[in-house]
Amino acid sequence: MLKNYIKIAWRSLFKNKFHTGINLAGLFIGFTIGIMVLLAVYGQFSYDKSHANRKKIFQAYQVFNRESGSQIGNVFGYPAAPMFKAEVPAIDKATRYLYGSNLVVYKEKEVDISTMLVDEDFLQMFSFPVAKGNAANPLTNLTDVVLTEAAAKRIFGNEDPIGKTIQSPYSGSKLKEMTVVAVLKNFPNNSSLRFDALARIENAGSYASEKNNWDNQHHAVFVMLKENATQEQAEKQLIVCNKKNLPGWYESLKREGAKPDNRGDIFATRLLSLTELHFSPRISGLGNGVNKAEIYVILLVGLLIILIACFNFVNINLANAFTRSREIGVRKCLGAAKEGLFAQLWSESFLLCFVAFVLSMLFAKVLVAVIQQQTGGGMPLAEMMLEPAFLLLAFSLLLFVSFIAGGYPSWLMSKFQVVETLKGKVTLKRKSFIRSALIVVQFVIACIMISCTFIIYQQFKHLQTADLGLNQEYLISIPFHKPENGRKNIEKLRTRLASNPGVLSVSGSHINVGVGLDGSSAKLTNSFGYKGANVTTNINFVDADFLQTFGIKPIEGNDIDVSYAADTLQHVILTESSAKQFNEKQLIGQHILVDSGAPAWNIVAVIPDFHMYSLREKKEPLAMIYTKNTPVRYCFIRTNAQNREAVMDALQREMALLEPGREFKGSFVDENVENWYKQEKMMSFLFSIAAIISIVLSCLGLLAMVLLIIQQRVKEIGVRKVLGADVPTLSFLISKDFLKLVLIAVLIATPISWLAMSKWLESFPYRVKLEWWMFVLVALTAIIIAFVTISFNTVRAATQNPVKSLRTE
Amino acid sequence: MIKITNLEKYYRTEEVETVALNKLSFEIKEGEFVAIMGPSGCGKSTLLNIVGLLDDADGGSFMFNGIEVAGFNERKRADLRKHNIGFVFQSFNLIDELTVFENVELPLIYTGVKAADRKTRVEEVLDKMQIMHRRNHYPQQLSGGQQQRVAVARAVVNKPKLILADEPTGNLDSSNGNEVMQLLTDLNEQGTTIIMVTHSEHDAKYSHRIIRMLDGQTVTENILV
Repeated sequence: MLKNYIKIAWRSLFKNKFHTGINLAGLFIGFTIGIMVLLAVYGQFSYDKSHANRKKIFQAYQVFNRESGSQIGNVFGYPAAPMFKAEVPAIDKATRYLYGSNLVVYKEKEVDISTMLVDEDFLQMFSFPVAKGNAANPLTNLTDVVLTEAAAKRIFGNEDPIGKTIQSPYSGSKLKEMTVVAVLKNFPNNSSLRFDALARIENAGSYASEKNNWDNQHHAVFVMLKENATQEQAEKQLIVCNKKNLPGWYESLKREGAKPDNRGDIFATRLLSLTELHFSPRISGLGNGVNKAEIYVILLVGLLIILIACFNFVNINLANAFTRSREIGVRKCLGAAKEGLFAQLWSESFLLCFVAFVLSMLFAKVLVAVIQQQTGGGMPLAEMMLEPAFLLLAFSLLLFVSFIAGGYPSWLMSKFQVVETLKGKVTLKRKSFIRSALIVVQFVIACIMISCTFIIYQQFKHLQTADLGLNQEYLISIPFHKPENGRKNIEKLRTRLASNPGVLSVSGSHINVGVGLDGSSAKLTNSFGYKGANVTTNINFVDADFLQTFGIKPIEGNDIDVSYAADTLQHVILTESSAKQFNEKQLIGQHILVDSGAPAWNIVAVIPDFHMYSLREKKEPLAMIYTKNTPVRYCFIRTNAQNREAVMDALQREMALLEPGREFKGSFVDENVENWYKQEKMMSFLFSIAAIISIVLSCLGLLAMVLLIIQQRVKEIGVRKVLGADVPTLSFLISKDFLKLVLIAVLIATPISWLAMSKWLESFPYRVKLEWWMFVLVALTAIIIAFVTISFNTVRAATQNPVKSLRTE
Repeated sequence: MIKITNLEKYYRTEEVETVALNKLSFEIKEGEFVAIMGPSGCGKSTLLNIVGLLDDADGGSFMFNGIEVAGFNERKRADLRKHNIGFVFQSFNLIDELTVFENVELPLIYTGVKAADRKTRVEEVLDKMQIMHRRNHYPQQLSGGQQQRVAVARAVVNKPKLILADEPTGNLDSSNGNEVMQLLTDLNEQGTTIIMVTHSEHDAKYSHRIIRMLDGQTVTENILV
């Protein structure tokens, strides 16, 4: 019986080549999108799964419920983690996680290796298996360093790394000699924590002076709970620990007018499970996370495209069903049961779905290989595609589609009345609610996709072109490999480029504006008490001529002068909102003591608030500090339109002398600013692809339906023509039913798009305003595309010779 | 074999009710060859559909082999049909996607006959209908007479007790028509009961008895043998 079903299915698919082609193309597109979306989502959910203790590990973060709103901080001072481990009974282990350096020196050879500074507990908490060396207790000694296999290979080549000595500068310290004690197996990219090397945090340059300072916060903290301890218990105990160790913070927050949250805390240290870490980028601050909402949006878009493909399939099969009614009647007459017929008809759908699915799987495999080649690694997607869990997921997609797409038409056909079919009385109804509804839903989805593409692109343009408060045009940013030499190198560049007419000024900053070629970004926050008030401000270490180079005009005061390098004060430029917190009428020239151990701040200028960070965040208070000792990671050079490229070339030559053998990573700040909005750009790109696919699939379905309806109305068209109807009238006669459906779809899609996009835009402090014309434009686009699709065939039908159509009857 | 008493069938649209069968009664014995004649719209095909268990009656009684089948549901009707009744249509109703062999094999598949037995039985009947050499052809590749021979082969392959033929020569020229009528006569002589709807007096002469219908009722019965 099954063989018979497949045989018939195969022959009937071949017989209707046009419809089979449309169905196959639609399903192929739908499945490919579905498989790629499933793979992307599967990849995201595979993050951090390899850690055996993942259910017991948490990242700590702080919540400050200030009067102005709740604020989340993911960095801590050095004392926090040891104190949590010692004083919170629910906590078993704890580790700090601080960026150490990007440089390893071995026998004069310098290698780019990212080292993270951690505590001894780190490797006992996380499962990073040791491939070689001390597997029992690496990182016991302060001079121990642990490398990944890839890092060891890059430093030592084929030499045995264990016991070898390397040198690294850790967080501002001078080169320190370290001994390689273990090599870790390479880990896949689906890990939230990424590093090439690990060393003890006590090696950080500032550790000795800052180890008891809670206020200077710079690193993440991870804790592991005891076997039976719960997150709730630990969070309660953390509050007790905070109250004991940080009474000043509570007082200052109370003075500020902080309001307790729904758990009754004005300040609390809370825990984020490792299993949720990847989906909470705002809390984790690790940079590679994604919001679950984004994953759901991708899933939804994938599902909608699959639905459009399914609906095409349903509509074409429903329409085609009537051409097969006689066969079904004969089969019933010969004794076929309804269930058997359903199985036969569904097996035809399944066969087509299966062929499309196999083609899509193969295509997806090639696509993944190309993506991996282009991006140079990334997630191990090709391997993930072969995992049983993913295959099961993909197979479920096949079943889902074949049931949705094939189920209804098969059920309907199996219900045909024998007598009616044999009399040839079963025909395609001109208007069918289901068919109309499916076309409407398809166009609703397509219209929503077009609206989303349009509005996301508008928002991207808005972010990209918005005024940051600084002049990003003709500004070049160059990262230094050794930030500790940053100031010296800036000075050298300033001198050497003084005679270059294209260089207008040179300065430096520890934080980049936008995302440059090094991909790095940082945020430093400082909080201190001043005359009874709490001052919280982001800080940045800058070099002389900062305001001139960045094109910022001070409200009062002057730019940092090169001559300030001679004294021991910290010269500071404050933004307006930062200055306000000091509550002083006259700040310029004041010497403010913010930390008993550090030199006082000499306020040299107050400037308007500007965007040091992307427009996804509101402008925050900022203090730009100039001291001769702090490292500076970026050099900024102001040039002009005529000399843009020439200056970049000159800088490349100069940097080759300053950092020989190092790749030059100079970039233009306006391009780096665009990189901030990569996500929006990517989303706009993804939606445009989704919109194109949706509209193409919907039109393909529409085309097939129009052709079928025309086939049914050939006689009517002929008779009307004989009676005097002209081509436009006839064309309109056939088109109007379909255009009505598209119009209904536009009316349904508009409010949905409006709501969805308003909700999406809410997350941006700076956003485009939704205008009525945007939606009218989208509606017109959809209607025109549909009209062209329909008219092409209706005009052709209307121009046919009526004698021919009448003779066919 | 068939006893019909006061059989009624109506067709209703929103505004009109048409009486297709109006308290029709007759009886057909096993081994008979009966022709049903009458003008278009007199209810011949409706009657044939009800007798073939393809359609329900709205009233009256229909006894098939001594069993009242008027109230049977679709599943029961299908079951009774596939084991007892073969159909021959004017327009042949062969499935275009299947070869001659596969078309004839179809009723055997639905009655659950094993593949090896199916092959023997199909070949036997194709041989008998002199169409064996066309076994791998598709219906479109055959002449009308050949197609109707295939349809007859399909109708008899399951060895039904009753064959219902709805204008079996309507689409054929006279020589092919005669051939088909001869086939039906042979089958009848071998014991199969045949009910044939026809407009052709010539074809009707092959039968034992002619039932003439008008407006859903029998008007006369002519016994030929």
